Amino acid sequence: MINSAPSLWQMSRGKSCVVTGFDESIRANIRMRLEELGFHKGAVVTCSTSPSLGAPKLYQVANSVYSLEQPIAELVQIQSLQA
Amino acid sequence: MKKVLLVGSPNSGKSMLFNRMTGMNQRVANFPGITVSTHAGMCRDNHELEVIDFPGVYSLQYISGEEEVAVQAFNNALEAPVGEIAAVVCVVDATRLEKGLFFALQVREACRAAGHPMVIASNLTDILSRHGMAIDANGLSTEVSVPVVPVSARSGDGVLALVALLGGEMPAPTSLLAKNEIAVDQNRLRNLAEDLTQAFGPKGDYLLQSHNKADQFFLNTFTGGISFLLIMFLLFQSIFTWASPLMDGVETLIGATAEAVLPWFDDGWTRDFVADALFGGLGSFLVFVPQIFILTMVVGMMEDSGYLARAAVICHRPLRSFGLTGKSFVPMLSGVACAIPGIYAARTIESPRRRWLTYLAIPLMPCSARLPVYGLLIAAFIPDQTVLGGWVGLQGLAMLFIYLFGIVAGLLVVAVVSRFDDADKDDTPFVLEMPPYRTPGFLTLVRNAWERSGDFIKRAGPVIFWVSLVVWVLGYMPNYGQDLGESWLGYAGRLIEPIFAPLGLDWKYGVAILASFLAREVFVGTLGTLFGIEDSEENIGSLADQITASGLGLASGVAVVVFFALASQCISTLATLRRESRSWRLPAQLFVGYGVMAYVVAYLCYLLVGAVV
Repeated sequence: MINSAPSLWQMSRGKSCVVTGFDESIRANIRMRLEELGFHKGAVVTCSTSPSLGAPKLYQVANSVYSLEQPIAELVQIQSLQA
Repeated sequence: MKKVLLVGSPNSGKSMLFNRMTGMNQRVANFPGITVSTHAGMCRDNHELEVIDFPGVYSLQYISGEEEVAVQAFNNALEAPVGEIAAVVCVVDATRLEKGLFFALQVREACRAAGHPMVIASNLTDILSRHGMAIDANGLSTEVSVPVVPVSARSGDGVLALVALLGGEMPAPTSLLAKNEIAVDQNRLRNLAEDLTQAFGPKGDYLLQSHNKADQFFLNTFTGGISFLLIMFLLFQSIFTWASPLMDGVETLIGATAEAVLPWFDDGWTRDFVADALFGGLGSFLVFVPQIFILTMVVGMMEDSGYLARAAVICHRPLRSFGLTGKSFVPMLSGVACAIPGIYAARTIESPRRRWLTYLAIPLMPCSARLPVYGLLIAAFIPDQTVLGGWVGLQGLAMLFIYLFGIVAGLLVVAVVSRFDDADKDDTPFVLEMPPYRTPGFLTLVRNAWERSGDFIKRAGPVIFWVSLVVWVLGYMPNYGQDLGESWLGYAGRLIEPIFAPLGLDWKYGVAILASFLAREVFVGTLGTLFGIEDSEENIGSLADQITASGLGLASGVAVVVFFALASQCISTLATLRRESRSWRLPAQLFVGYGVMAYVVAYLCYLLVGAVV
């Protein structure tokens, strides 16, 4: 079942989602790098760690884990996946 | 001799493979301001091959100036005539195949266009096999029409097979990756990388599961916080405590060498030069080498184990509000001991802008060279009394405030500068790949620390020598060291007396401040000489009494402390900054900018304290 959720940053630990696109304000080079790392449209992303106090969250995409800070993660639009 | 171009993503183990193939010990990375950091070496198992190692990049489509230089260097190398390049070896991390394959497919397209052979070296296969996993190298090779060689740069497995392959003749990849297409775009490459990983990559996610468990511990609010503090405590201990015996050892060695060498010289200027400029000036610089060695080892341990990336995550948010990044933490922490290892540690910051901002903060950290100055002035002006039932000493409290003053000043300066700078322009975002947890190799750590220390001596040493020489000549002439007050340095002190007079300081303090530009702690020794006290470093109490007896007021004492806290007059630091930034621009800006700021703030504090007391 798919529920709409605005951005990657709003995911909590252990939750998975599908990347649906990017915010219009994202810089082209940052979008390109995110896509190269696996955060492309249709990619399944899991929030593996969500530290407190606003620290960057850890996201697992394919076989890699990346830490994205809030201003970047907020630009990745998603739909959450529920089991 | 044919060339082997070694390329790959960061953290793919490329530099380790380079070292394994050449027998060299290069530490390869993207460094700030460096045009391009390529390394070349002869292949030790085939002397007909020259291996050229390129900085690691995520993609041939660069997003920063630093990446652009690295990619352009690779593209330029591909312009070599067909036949000159034995092969382009693209190193991929077999445990994270998809990411590496995307880059490998980009490289394949570049090789196909240029007509050069290519090999994919699937590294870290030892880790996969330890967990009962493997990649289907033959299947992958058939699919992409490029040889795929499983290797382990760490253990050496498969490296000979790779070298043997490189020694033979190989065709360049000619077939298109996607059928019925003239060119392949990035989206198709990415999708293909995903499909290939699904089909031929390791099955199972044991590695990720184990890393996630470790991250739950190290990034947890409670356990992560405790472990972070513990690790930082160990880092501090390593800088202050563990390095101390080694520093004492170097100091003793220099002293013993001086005692052995000096009798060879008759009394006169040559003897004075050797004693004061060489053993005094260069010696005080060499004493810091063990500190750099130990710090490099500990930071290297954090880096190789994968913890540094986690520490950066923990510190990112608070430092981000000042314009810095989480990766600025360790360099700034190191700067509390000594700015030089701190500046070296800043190499781990990928973003040129954040690294530059970190460079601005490091010289303001309260380094150990400032400690004797603070100790002297605290002894002179703060009574040796305790408060709160004897638990809190006033002098210790004063020292704490001075340390905090430096740290806060560093953060505020960076915050102000980052506001004036275009924050987002061409900056690399904080997208940090979490490297897998690994056990660091002790010998590799020692070798890296040894090379870094040697590099420090080679690069900063000559600058220190020439500055030592100039300061010594100014302090020695024209009366051959008979009276520092009548030397050219003394004249210069009187010349600049009007500059320091508004702070309530006479020419002696001016001379001491001038001399401290060689090394801050020289301030104490110079004042001791001017006040006629021998071994002033050991006789802080007597010198402090002389200072108060000379009529220096509290306001002036505070002004001197503030000046030393903010001024960037350490030649070693400036020389290291010049070495790291490859330009005198930044050190010159810091020297002038922080000098003016130090003077203005010191003057304001002088007025403020004078008005209150």
